Amino acid sequence: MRWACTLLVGVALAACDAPPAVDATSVDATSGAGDPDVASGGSPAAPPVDPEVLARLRLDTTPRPAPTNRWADDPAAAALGHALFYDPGLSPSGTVSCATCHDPARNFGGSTPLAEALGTTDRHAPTIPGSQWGAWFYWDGRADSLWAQALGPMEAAAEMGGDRMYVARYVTTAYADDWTASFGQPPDFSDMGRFPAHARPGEGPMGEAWEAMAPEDRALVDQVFATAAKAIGAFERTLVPTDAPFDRYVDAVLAGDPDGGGHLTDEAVRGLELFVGRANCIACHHGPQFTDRAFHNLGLPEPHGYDPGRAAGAVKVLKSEASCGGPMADTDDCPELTYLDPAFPDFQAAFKTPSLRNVATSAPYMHKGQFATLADVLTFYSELPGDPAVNHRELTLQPLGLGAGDKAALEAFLRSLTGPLPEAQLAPPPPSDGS
Amino acid sequence: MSRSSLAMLVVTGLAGGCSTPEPVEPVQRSWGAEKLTQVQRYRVEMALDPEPPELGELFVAKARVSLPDGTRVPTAVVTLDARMPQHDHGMETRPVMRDGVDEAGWYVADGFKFHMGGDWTLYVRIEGPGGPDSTTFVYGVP
Repeated sequence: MRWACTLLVGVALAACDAPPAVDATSVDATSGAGDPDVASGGSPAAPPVDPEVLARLRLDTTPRPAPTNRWADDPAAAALGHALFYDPGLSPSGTVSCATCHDPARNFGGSTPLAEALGTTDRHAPTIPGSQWGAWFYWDGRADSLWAQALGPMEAAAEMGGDRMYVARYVTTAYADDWTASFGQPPDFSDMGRFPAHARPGEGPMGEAWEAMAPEDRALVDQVFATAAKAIGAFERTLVPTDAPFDRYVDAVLAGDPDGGGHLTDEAVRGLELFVGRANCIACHHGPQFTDRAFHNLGLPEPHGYDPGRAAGAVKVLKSEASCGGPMADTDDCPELTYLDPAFPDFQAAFKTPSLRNVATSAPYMHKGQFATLADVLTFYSELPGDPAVNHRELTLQPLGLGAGDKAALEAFLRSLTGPLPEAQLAPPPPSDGS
Repeated sequence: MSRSSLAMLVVTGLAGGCSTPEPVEPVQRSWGAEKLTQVQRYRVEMALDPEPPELGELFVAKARVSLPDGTRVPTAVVTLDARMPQHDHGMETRPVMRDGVDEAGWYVADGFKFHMGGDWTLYVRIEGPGGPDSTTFVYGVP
């Protein structure tokens, strides 16, 4: 851990007349990011950031296994999922699709602070590209797969406002041929006595209708409902960030060009140095997707009151019928759930670290969309105003005291993480492909 | 992540007083490590699988316990845990110790995860024929 070693040794050097004994090996390990001489360009032949650090940030699109979804990498399922993602017919009102909240023009994130569909939800719609490399989904991680996440909005009153009975009937009739080609002959839901128009677990008339159904019929509906979500999940796995100027810069540095081929501006390079150095953004935003995929309490302003975040999400994911090992999942080998500690104290008011890939096109930011611009985000980290209402802010966070030039540099670097998504994914498929 | 980039640090004393700088143990270029316990009742070999573990991914931690003279101790009760003292938190997971030792004499814990980069302290506690004792290993996770 080169930067940490640099920091710790740096503190000792700054505070003492005589530096502590550090052997030659550990001195070697402190070279690179954070070294003031190097960061200020003292060695013109060396890149300003340790190439090994850069290599760990370069985009890597090796798929992450998705064992709970047997169709995760099935092209036909993904094609059907593509159509479903954009289809407002998936909601009984015919007005809301996944894309209503996950706007392709915003890196498949929300355009409003809180997601707005049939109603207003209690969180911002997170971005999707690159999310397959996470273990948890939603800001609070209450789902453990992309497809399990996709189930939720279809039955949420403020989102699609539907129910699994409606969805199962719709996808197996509107997409009958594609469905059969991908998943085999679907169940026959034409008997309205056995399969009412609307039914789902829960309260109210739809819950009563669900309870009145035979258990084996409910199982048929659940199977189709989950399969539709798995098709959407398969499509979402194809939403993969592409190389950004930063990645081309890294490639050039790793090829031996300390200037990185000129793929980053000087200001962006200075932002990169801050990112991995003094600002230490890399502590949580690391790896090819610039996220540790973990949950942290930033002490953000909560304009709508206390939100338990991961503390509630961890409990929910252990109970969900769609989680690994549940009746809808395609495996019962579930190490993530087996060892998850839902009582981890720092889950209180903690939310998932988002990817920074395409962050410049993803505004607004944070789990409640608290910040409209990247500049607002950087000002927050610079000042860290206020204290969390519950628990404590992640202890690694300290006010950065960024100057205007620092903020501009960091923003320039963040903008260098933008890589265009394929045009074909930004709109519904042609009718002949999906419906 | 190349092995050469890994560093296992023992940083105790770096943040302490400056008039008499504490010695800094050399950085070790491996995640495997071996040391005597706090009151030197046991020698502990520590290993992680995979080595190195990937940040944010589950891994196995295992310890092999011997008396100082090298005699293996297969009948101890060994517990393994990890925390980030600088962040005042542990892991998001609850590791589970397997029963007894495996064929190679390791006490094995499943379900470890370093969920963020930084210095992680791995705690080894032993209740064995030589009495109770413990030790720690500090891993710098990039």
